[in-house]
Amino acid sequence: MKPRHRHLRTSAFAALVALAPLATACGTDSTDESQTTLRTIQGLTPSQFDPCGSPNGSETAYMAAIYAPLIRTAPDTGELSPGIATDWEFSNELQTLTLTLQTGLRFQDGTTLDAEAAKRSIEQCLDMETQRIPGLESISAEGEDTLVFDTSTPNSGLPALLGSRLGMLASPTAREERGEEFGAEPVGAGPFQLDEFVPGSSISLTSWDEYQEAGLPEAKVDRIESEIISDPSAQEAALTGGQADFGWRLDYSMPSSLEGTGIHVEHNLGVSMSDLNIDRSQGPLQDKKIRQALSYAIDREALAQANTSGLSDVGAVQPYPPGHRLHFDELDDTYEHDPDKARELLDEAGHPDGLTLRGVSLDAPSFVNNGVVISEQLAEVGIEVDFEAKDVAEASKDFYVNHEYDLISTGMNSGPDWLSIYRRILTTESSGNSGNVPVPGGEEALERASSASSDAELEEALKEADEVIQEELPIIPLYYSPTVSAWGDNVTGGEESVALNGEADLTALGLR
Amino acid sequence: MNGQSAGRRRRAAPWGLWIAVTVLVLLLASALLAPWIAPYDPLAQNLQNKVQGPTSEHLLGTDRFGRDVLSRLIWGGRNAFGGVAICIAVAVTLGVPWGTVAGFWPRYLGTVLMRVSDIMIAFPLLVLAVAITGALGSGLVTSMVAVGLVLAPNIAQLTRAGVLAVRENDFVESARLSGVWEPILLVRHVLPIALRPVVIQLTIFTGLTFVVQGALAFLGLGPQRPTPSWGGDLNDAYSQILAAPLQILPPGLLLGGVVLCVYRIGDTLRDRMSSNLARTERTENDVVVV
Repeated sequence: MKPRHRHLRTSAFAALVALAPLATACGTDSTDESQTTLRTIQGLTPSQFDPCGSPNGSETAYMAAIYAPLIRTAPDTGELSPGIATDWEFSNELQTLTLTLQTGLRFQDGTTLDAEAAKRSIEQCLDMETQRIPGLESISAEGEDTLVFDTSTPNSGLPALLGSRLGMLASPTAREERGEEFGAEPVGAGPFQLDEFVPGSSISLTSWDEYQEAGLPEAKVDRIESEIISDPSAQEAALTGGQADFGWRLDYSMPSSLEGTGIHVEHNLGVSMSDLNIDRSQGPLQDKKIRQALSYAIDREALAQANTSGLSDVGAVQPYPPGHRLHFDELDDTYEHDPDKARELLDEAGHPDGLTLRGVSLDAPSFVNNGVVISEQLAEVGIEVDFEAKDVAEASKDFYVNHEYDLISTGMNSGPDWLSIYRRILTTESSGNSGNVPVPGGEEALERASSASSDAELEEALKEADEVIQEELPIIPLYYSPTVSAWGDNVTGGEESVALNGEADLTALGLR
Repeated sequence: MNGQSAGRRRRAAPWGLWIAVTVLVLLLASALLAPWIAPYDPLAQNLQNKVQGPTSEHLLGTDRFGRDVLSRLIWGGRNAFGGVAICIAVAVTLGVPWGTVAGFWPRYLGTVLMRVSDIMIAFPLLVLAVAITGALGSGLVTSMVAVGLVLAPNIAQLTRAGVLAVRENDFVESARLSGVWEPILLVRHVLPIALRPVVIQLTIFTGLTFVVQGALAFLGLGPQRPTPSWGGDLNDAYSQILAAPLQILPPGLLLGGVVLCVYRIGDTLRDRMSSNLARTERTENDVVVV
């Protein structure tokens, strides 16, 4: 057992600095004792709250409380249930989806939420080009409560797509009026409103008294005050010192450091995954055999253990983790760590003496650390690669646009919308496809999934899609990133709030 | 022994100086001889043996990737000393001519040059270094060039002060009147005296540069992982602080120790080179007056 010293001066100082704003927040709260305020911390920093704006993943928890969903996706299972739409059905061989909407709903700015408003909101979103509906021909509002989507090809994934960010309906009036400011001043129809956003520091939500139930439960607290704290010692101090009631996306060291403190800690394998994206448009990785050699050379279990503080040893070779309905156990053994097989493939590809690759990694510690371990593992089979750490914008530009690197250490969130993630991996025009190189069999696999008329058919089609991914390796999955959440005894709904995608379902949380 | 002869005799160097010099020489030598004396490859990982305390096999333990901490610190010394050398070279190469010109021709050119240095000095050192490194790109050379650029105005101002004081001396005036070409006058007669405080200040900047270099590497702006660097390794150790708090000691103490040694040498240099007081009247804390 390694020695532990919780009261190091450095930790205390870091905690003091980080908690200063929290202390202020608590002071404010104490002036109005009739209000219930949930104080939370999270380890990542949101940059905006428009579901159609540039996503970085950490804003999802807040958006899921601000916006009522067209179709609700259960945070813990990914199952679809009614939201603003009470019912939906396909016709015309999965090419027409008709949704029946609740009536009498309003957005937080008073705008009526009917079929026409929903249509405008989704069209605004599509115009922003961060999201798209494959094969969309038209969206039409029929009367007050009927919304119809027509597509040129079967699209069984459309309800799931509408259950994710695209279906978080924003007030079209407010988005039009506020323009680029909308991301910092969002207006939805959910149980919470954004009260204050200090980038990189804090986010405050207040409950919306006029919320009418539309998929999300009513607010259980009057106010949620969230601080961004990434330092592990400060996270520990905030939770154990009573300055925070709940925390999510916490450091991987929290489960061991909070042991015995009375704080509930939960860590799960979510649908976030670390992976290597490959540029198949240039360089040695155009050759499938070299991509496969890389995949065999990586010891995923050791990598996962090293970079998750031992929370996980589950390597990933498909998008969804064990236990998820779209995970296929029979595909798990495809790329067992096998350096000899890797060398054999390199030999077949004409590189018996190995080769050198150019790597880049996003500058977040987990991606940098993945690069450190992978470069050492690949060196064992003769592949030399160092990963240069760059911020997201620079790394993306240099990898996807300038083609300066062969591979990038990055990550993706696979859920709960399967259509978005498989489109990203398998389609030619995907923004995640550097150089837009076709994935042999990829479009066909997605087409089969989109034409599935039952869950069984969908699962079979996605299994085939996984086989295409494993054969062609447009990305090399590494491991599923665990998510860590923690809460004190005074919090209700802690377990229910832990979402598959690692975010918190803030609407589930209350105070005793 | 009378007071005069005691004043004439140079005081023996304090033992602290010899310890500082010895430590720095040993560290520099070990960095230069790293390929032969480091017990392990600093990049070699052993994920089954990570975050271990000191053992007979790994005298300073292993880090989060199972790499030998001692080997990484020895190799990291190359970046540390090399980086500081780059930084000081940039600061001197830029700052000394800058201050010399400003001091020798103080009226118009000197005023403009000094206002530029005032503007640069107005920014906090680390913030400006981070900004410049961000613009130039991360890496040992770029980050150290950035710090050198930030330190240059300080060197310039100190050089200018020295030149201004010396240029008015009688011997300079005599040389000028006897027709010595001004650049020669400057280099031969003015700078050797004017640069005394700069030399002393450079030892302080050297210590500061070790700290700033460590900070930039800690922030990910120094040598790229997995290249060994004291600041980068300190960051790795800090990320494990709750699980293995002692991991921060080897890189942290080393960095702190090196800075103390450099400052100790700087103190002695100041005592030897400073003051225009009579030697018998000097005390250890005399300020630099040329």
